[in-house]
Amino acid sequence: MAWRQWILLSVLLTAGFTFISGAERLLAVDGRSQVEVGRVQPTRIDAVTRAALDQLNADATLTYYVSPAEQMPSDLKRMEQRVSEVLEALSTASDGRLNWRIVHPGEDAEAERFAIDRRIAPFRWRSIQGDRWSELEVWSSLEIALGARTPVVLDGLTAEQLPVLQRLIAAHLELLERPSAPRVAICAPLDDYGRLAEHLTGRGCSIESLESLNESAAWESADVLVWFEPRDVDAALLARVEAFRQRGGSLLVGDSSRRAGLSTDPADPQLKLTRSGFEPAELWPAFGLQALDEPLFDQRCEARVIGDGTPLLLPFLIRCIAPNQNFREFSSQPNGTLLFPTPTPLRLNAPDLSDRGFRAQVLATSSEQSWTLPGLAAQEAELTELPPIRLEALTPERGRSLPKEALAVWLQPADPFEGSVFAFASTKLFSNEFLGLTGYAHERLIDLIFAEAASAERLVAARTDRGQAAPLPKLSSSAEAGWRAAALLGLPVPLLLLAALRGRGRGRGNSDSRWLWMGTLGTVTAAGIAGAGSLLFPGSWRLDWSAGELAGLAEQTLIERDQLLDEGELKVSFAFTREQDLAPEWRSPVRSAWARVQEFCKPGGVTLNRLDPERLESDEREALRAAGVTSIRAQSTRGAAVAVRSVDATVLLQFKEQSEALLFGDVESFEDLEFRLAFACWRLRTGQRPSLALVTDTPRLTAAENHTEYLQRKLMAPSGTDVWSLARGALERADFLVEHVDQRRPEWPENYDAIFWLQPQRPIESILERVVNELHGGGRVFVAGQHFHVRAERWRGQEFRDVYWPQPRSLDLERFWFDDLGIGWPRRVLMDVNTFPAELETHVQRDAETKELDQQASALPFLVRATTGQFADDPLMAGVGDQALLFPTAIEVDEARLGSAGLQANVLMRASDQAWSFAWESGFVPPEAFEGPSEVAPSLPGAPLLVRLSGEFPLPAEAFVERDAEESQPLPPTPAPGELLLFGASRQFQNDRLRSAGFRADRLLVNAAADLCLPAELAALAGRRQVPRGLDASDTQSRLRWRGWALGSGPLLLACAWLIRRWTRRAGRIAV
Amino acid sequence: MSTPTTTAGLPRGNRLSLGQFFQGTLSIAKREVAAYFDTPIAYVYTIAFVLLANSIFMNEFFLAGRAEMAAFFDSAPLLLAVFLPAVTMRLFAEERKQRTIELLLTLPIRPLQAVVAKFLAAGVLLLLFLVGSAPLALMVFKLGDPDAGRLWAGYLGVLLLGGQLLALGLMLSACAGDQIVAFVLSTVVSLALVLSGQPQVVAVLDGLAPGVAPGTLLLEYVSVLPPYEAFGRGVLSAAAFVRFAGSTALFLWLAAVVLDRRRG
Repeated sequence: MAWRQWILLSVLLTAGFTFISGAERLLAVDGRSQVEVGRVQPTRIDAVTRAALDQLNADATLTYYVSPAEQMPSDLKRMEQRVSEVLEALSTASDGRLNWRIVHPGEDAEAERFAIDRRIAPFRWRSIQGDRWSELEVWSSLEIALGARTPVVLDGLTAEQLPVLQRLIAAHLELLERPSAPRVAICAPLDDYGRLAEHLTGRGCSIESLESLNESAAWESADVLVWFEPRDVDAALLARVEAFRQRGGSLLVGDSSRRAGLSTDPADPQLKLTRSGFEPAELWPAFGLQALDEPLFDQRCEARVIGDGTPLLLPFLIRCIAPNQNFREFSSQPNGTLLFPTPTPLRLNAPDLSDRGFRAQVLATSSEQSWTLPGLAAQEAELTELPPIRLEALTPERGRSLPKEALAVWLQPADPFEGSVFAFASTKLFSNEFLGLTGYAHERLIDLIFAEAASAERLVAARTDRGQAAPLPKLSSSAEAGWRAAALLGLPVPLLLLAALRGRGRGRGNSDSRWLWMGTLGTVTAAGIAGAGSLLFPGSWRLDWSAGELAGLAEQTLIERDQLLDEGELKVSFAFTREQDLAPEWRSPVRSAWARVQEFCKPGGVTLNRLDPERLESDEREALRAAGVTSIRAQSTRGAAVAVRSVDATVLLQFKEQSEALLFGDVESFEDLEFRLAFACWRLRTGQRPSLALVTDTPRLTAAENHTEYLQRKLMAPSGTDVWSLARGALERADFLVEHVDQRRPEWPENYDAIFWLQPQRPIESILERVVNELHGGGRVFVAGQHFHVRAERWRGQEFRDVYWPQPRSLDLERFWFDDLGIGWPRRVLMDVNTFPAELETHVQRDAETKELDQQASALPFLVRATTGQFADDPLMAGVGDQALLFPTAIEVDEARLGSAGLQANVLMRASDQAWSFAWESGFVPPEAFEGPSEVAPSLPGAPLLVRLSGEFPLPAEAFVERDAEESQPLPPTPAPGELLLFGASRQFQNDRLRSAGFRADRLLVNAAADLCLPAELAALAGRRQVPRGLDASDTQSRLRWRGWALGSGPLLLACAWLIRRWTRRAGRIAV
Repeated sequence: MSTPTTTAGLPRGNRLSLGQFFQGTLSIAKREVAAYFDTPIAYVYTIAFVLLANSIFMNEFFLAGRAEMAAFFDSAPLLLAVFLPAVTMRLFAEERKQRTIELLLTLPIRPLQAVVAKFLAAGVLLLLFLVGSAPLALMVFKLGDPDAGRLWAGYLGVLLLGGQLLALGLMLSACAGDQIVAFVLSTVVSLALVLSGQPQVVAVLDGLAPGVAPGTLLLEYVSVLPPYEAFGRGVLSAAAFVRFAGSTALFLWLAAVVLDRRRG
């Protein structure tokens, strides 16, 4: 077409679209111009809502507090219009008994004051500004008031709630008009839990008791299901329970796998442990949890007087005192001790929890003095009945120390309509024997849980029909295959037949034979090429163009293997469940792992066999189990069913009399396969097994937090739970032995190769003394700590504006020794242009009584993204990928002073060149500090975050720990070159952040352990992972320029080429 | 004085009755539909679309375990944005390349009739695509109790959206001299119409110029997703009908204008 025609077309198009858009706008304003035909009709009032409106005895007022559309993020811009449509429809249907209004708090101060007076707060929403994550503060809350009753507020209203908004409002109005009892189904042995039913009845609940969930389906319509001591748990039952939870019902569930009996012979009291019949592995994986199937004992336990009046400690009756409870997100707390008889501790499975969209909060834990008897579980497996254990022999010295173990966990779903799960390691505390036990707060605990699980909001969620499609019935695999075939081939087959018939009718024989010939020729040619290829290149021929040739085995791996083979024969067993029984996401990694193990086993002297333990004879299987091949519980998807089943995923290396079993617990663990193979060869050859002393403490509240949130309200502050268990697991998965050392009561293992100290907390003197002595004597230490956790706060007095409080973590490293060396730990909040988005704990204080702890989106510069461009070229930093550091602390390195102390410093990770920091002393971070480098927050380019110090470490001039005159100082070891890794960030190693949102802090931990414990060549293998390189820091303008370049350069180049060609042609024509 | 005539010999000023218009249109449409089924086009396109769309749906259907077709309606816009340009690319561009356009334009018909006829023929193929998903609907009804209102509204949405994309492709086929160019242009514009409704795209574009909010402007005035998604929720609004039907009519009319100017 000619240019003029294109222009005409564009003009006509624009005019046409303008006309259509105008007509569309006009029609969209008029609500009558639309018809709703689905079951859920947002603006057409259904019978249920109409009935609720008809029964109102008082006038209802609905107030929607919403930011003006221009201040809203893209996905909330239409909220006001769409909520208004629903409210108008309700108002029209109510004959004037329901009024509604819109308030724009973001627009004028008076409206904002009005909202704040009614305790309505804005919330943060993630947005994108100039190709960078950012956040916006927006208002979107609906207040439902009925007569003089206390209004209900639906906070954080988003587009997801709109389809059911009408029903939500109706349900709230109905509950305000006629408060009704929560419907509770109790499925538990009635002889044991009768008092619980009575207690709940007394609290106004309507109870239905069941012996088994299979006996009726009535429980499926309850608001809360109490499922204690579950038996005969199978996939079908779990699917029904999950459907109940997804509908909005809350669940209390749990049991312990052992029961304790006490022989009260005063001369020799004994403990008898028996299996209860509960199989934790059948239940907990369905909720993203695991159980530590070992008996848990605790020195903080119940004592009983037996015989002569001497109180005897019963370490299996675990007392969970108030500091070991965490009910921060509840309206209150039990305010008393809880007793967990013979619990089977719960462990969080982070990937599974994330798959199911759960956020886990540990409500109760054992104490720091927890321990287990490691041999007991193995003994139990061999014997049908365990011999009694003398109570005198039941002491922590004979067992293995454990960190604080979870006894009660609250799983909150991401979807607010779904119900929560309260999981208990033992439910006997709610039994007739223990529920009302004097001195314990079990009744208060159940009241608290029901205040949450049967709150008005939860009851409305559970009773509101969201119009979700009904779940499908259970189908046989043949029926399912039939439906699949019908769905896929229903039309294609008749069409092909039609095509064939039409072709035959037209007598296109020649054409058909031509197609046949071409097909045959193509097939033969392809087969020929494939055959020739396999003859010319026998084996697996490939080209590996990846940096570091990561697709093949490294030379060092082959050296480790060959060194082992020099001393004898190696047998490798690839013990994996067969591929078709694995979950789909496992299949490709397992195939790659098999190829890699085959490559590893190529030379003579290595015997390789692949086997599926479940398909072996029982004696062969037992032999494998004895050699360390253990199955894991993994989620698998087969056809329609999502089931949890036992899966084998172990590579077993046997050499002479020794064996090393490499267990792969999840899909991501295959990335360390090569390192683990080489490491296993090294262990088999040297007989060594590196072990780490992992020193951790539970995160504590600050004094200010403790005072304002607990002491003033006469509550006990929680002392926190073990937040480092996944970090510990990551190191164990890489085949390091990890010994737990409690920072407050350190019991050091006899031998260890390195100390890992995560987040030192006051008092640190005792551990630091040990660390310094170790370093002086040539030891290896990793210390990760930071000064602050920044918490977002909203107070009514601050008009609910976000303020950020850096809560001090009492790191204390700046007070001792490091300053003498030339290492500084300044108390500054580090900020950077390179950030990442994260959910941040936000404290909303609506009034003196009501506090809420929400998770809200944030992307402020204290969420520092350290990219690979900011890493040193060092094997320790290889393959770790970008790191997401929450509120890190920059380390000051004075190389001159370090040099004079005989130490060398190597900075391994830095902040970007555009970083800055705010020197915090007290109060909130001023908002201008977030904007970029300024007077209040000076620039701090390239601030060191991870530093390696090596050399002979000097001892401190003065001892850290004051000792009595009789107490002797530990003897300093002979000086030798040591190594210290200092990391100004630790929060990312905690459970909720270790492997979150695409960042992997566990890789850095594994690399650090390898670096500190293993020979350099072997340690370098730990970094051989396929990791994408992160982008360096760039400002908004530069990002915009790059966007312009990416979109415009190609077309511009083509346009230039076209112009040049046109010009040369014209020039040629003129010449002619 | 003689009446000015087109090359086809049809008097320019002559008005056709509605009956005559549709009679002519239908006869060409029948010829076009027959042409689809005489060549592998109808079979290959339909089988490919049905296999792809139904496979995507079936991949998650039993896992999600819900008797609904939301997954099908969610994936349909992107699939249609790729498949429909492949249907429309040849409609005029190929005729021009093979010099049969002159023949078409010498028939005693108006350009709009030719355009509408080809649109109807391509619409038959679109219907066939949707018929291919009938086994899914049957299965969902057999296995559960789906929301029939939402389901039929969803189908209506797909039909209207498909109609708009077909008309767009037809117009670009009339403008372009080559069917590959027509295909690429149609696919790019169709994808732009669909993707400009994706939340992530809207958020990024808004972030580039927060004052203007270009993403929101595109979402509200250009993207086909908001009216399409309303159908998916079971809402049949006059505004959405106006958007789809108006755009379809506009594209068809413009295609006729282009043809008319070409035969001059």
